[in-house]
Amino acid sequence: MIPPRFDYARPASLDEALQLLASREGEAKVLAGGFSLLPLMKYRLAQPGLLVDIGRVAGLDAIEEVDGELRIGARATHGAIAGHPLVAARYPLIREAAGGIGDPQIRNWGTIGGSCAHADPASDWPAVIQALRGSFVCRSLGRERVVAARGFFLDVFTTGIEPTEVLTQVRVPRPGPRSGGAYVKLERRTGDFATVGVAAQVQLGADGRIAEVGLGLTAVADAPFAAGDAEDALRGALPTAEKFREAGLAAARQARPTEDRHGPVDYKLTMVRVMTERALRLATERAQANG
Amino acid sequence: MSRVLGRRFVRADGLPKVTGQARYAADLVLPGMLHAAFLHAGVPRARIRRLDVSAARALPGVLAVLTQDDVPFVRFGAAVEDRTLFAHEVVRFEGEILAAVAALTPELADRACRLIEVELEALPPVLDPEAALAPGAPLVHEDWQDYSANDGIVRDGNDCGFVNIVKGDIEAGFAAADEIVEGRYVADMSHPVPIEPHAVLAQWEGDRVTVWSTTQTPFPARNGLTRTLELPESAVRVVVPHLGGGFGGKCEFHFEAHVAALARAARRPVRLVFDRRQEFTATDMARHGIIATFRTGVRRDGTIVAHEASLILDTGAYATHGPVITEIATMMAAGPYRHPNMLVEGRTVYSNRTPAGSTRAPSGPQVCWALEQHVDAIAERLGLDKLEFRLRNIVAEGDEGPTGQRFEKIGARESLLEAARLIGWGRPLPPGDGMGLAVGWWFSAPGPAGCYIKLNADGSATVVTGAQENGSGSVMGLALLAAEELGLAPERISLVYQDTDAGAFDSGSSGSQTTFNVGRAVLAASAQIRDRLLRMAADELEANPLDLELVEGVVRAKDAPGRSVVIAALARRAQDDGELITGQGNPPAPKMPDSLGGSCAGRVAFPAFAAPAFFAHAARVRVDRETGVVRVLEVAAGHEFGRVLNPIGVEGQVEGGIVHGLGIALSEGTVFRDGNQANPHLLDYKLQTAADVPAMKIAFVDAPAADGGPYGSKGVGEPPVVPTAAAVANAIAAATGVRVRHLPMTPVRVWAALAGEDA
Repeated sequence: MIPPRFDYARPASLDEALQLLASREGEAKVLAGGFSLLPLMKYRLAQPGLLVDIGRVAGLDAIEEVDGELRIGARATHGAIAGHPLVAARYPLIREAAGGIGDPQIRNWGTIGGSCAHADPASDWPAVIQALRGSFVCRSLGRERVVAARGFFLDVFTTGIEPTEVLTQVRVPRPGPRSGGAYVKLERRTGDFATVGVAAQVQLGADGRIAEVGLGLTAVADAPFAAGDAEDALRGALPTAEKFREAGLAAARQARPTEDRHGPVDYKLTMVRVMTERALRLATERAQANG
Repeated sequence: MSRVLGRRFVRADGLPKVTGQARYAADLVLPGMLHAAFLHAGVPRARIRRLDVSAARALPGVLAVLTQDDVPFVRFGAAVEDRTLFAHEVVRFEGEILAAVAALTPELADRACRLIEVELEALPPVLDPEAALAPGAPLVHEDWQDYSANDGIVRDGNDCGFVNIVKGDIEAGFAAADEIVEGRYVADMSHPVPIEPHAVLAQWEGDRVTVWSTTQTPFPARNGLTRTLELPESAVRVVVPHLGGGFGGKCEFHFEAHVAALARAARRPVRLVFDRRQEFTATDMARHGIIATFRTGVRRDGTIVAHEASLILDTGAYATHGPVITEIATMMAAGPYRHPNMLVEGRTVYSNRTPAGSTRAPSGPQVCWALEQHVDAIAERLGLDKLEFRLRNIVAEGDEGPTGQRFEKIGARESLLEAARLIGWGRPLPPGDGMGLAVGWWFSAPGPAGCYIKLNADGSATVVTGAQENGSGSVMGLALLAAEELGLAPERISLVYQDTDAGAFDSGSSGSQTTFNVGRAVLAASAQIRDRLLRMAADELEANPLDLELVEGVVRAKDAPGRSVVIAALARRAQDDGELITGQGNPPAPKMPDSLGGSCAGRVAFPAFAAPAFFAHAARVRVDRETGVVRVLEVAAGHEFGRVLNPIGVEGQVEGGIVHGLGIALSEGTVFRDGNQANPHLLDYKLQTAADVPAMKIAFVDAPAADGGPYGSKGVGEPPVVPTAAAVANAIAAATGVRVRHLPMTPVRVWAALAGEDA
């Protein structure tokens, strides 16, 4: 378990990091917590020529509300997010997801930006940010762009991020009254990668119907995705068990799981339906309580 | 009894371990030390066409590269001498070692391995143990009729250990039965998974080599070294620094000789440290995958009248302890029940998997899991409560064991009642919850033991033993026995252990034997010191030695505690007068219980279970029927270990055993893809963690056993892991109405069973 040789740099500023990425375009990778990247390198599934460690770059871990959205610095750890009072007060989906990632050691090291940029097909954040219709801020030398989370996750370990960019911030719109979110994850044991993870964010109208809904799924395709067909089926409908089941079946039709140590395809497809129903039920209950 | 025994003592090595002061084999560094790496075959079965290490040897910084051509051609093995240090002509499992490298850095050693040119002709692997038993099946060891082996081994195709237990008249038993219940159960291979991986450091001085190793069995490791490298025992010293867990996986002889040979060739110290993948694929003590089938005849009143069992143990590419473990497995397939008529057969099958061996209570959890589910199924057929059915058949004092041993006073029934009481057997449960019971038994292993104790001039004492402390606390407990005997505080006793040059031969931390055997040696050695102190004190106090006692650092009159002399003063005076006070104990091993002799069981090692421990676990689970996820809410454990010497230590072993057992029950299983392990890492080989651990309630039936070890105690380390998986399985069945017949009982398997599929 020895990785191939690589260069290592620990720049003090973001600009310096961006310069390094630009000068070694295509062979440099950004290192944040390292919990996901380093094992891949040991298995020689990733062989970057240069690691740019952004651990010393200041100002990348703030968590704040600005202009009606939650902005989470890319280097904020899962643990810091789970414990943040703003998140606890208004973003139950985010809190639930952050608090269930791995174990305390992982939550104290792993970062939201690292997890999203790494794009493990079974990681939790990509499903959550898509369900919330969030976005990512990507910076390169002299350029900053905001990219929607939906459409950002392209394939296994592949995102819309450019090789010269650093993902610096995650943005999520602030949910209003009568909204609720939930993240449910099927795990083989506590702290495991998801067999299936479903993030649901439900916005109810004054009439009790579903005004808007976001559903993000992880671990059941090459990349975490938003279950658009299921969302369409729910929008404008009353939140009933039948409707949730219909949505669960629609989500399963959109899923493309593969057989692995978590189980065979038929099991996973059934679990997509089950976990989607559970996430919707829980999110709706929270929305109803959030009158 | 007792100022020390029965009280709660924190083990002496606990603080250094939890504060990071303890040093393990992988921590050790010697000047000029090189780093070792192995090239493994990576395929389960192949013929070696070419193996060219010249490019690796030519790499600057590489000081030694060895293959089988560079070491003596010696076959070795615990039950069958079926192995060589390196692969010889053929590959029999993926972790087989083709070559070993010593280089200046681990990175260079890794690169050198990648430069070795290998041409392997792949052969179809033998993976299905039932097919491997068929006549004409391809042989894993084609010429093994020529190997040396234990005299009791029957060589039959791929079966390297046939064992049976024959008792009564099985056909007459079935003829008298009102109901006959059958069942088949399959368990996957699992692993011991100690936190610390295997590590070895070897250094030569002249013709002598010192090997620091992560072995649980320093003396068998030394035997392996002397045999494979053709050295006298006096030329080899094996030392274990602190051991980071073993769970049986570090029993016997592993990689000490490879590293010693590298160090000799490179003329430098060499250290090897395994990574986690090697720990899964290249070691040879996995827990056996088994196939168990049962057929049991019962009368309507719940009396068992005939019991037939067939066991197949997949022992992998090499036998290791397999045939011995099959003997144990046949005893476990009988269970702690009265059987007038019984036929149990066990087979030990070679395959092209990673070898299986002595993982904690080898065969115990799997066979108990299968048998106890079968026992529940019988009770269901009869419409009897599962506790009641077991109580009607469980063994008690005077009953006859499977091979004819007569049980002394035992706590089988009491353990079961304790577990049932602690879990609240029979109380109403919410929907989705279920409760399950399982009983079992396990042996203490009689063996030779020696101990040397020296009384220091300040009245402290040092115990020198060859025993090995694998983390169970049993060697730490030897200090308690010496303290009790010598009237000293336990912290006044130091220990020298797990060093083959210091202590007498010891079979190691295997078979739950340390307290049972070495404890007797400690008592014998202590008695010599005690006698000397009593005589010295009697002279001084002008008393009869019989009227004196050793208590709290003094020798005093039993009827007048004020008349006393300090032990330290006696020790100092003796030394000043030219006498050193030492004691030595090497009592003979206890005899095995008598057996019938009508069975094959016992030809290799185990004709009966000496000083057996009895136990029962009860589990309460909640099953998510939609996902198949099982949450264990509570486990209750009733155990009889004879006399409990250190309750905190025994509780630790029981708690650890339960957690270990939950892993075996729910998540720990090796998946093979075409003969290679598909999950040789902790990402997909799922251990239970603290967050998964349920509430645990533990009770001991605490009474000295007539056939026990020191103070009537029995072996503790292995029994607690045996019945947990079985109790969980029965709880799942109670909660869902379906039986999961494949271990581990993963969510997918539970889900499939609920869907009516045969998981």
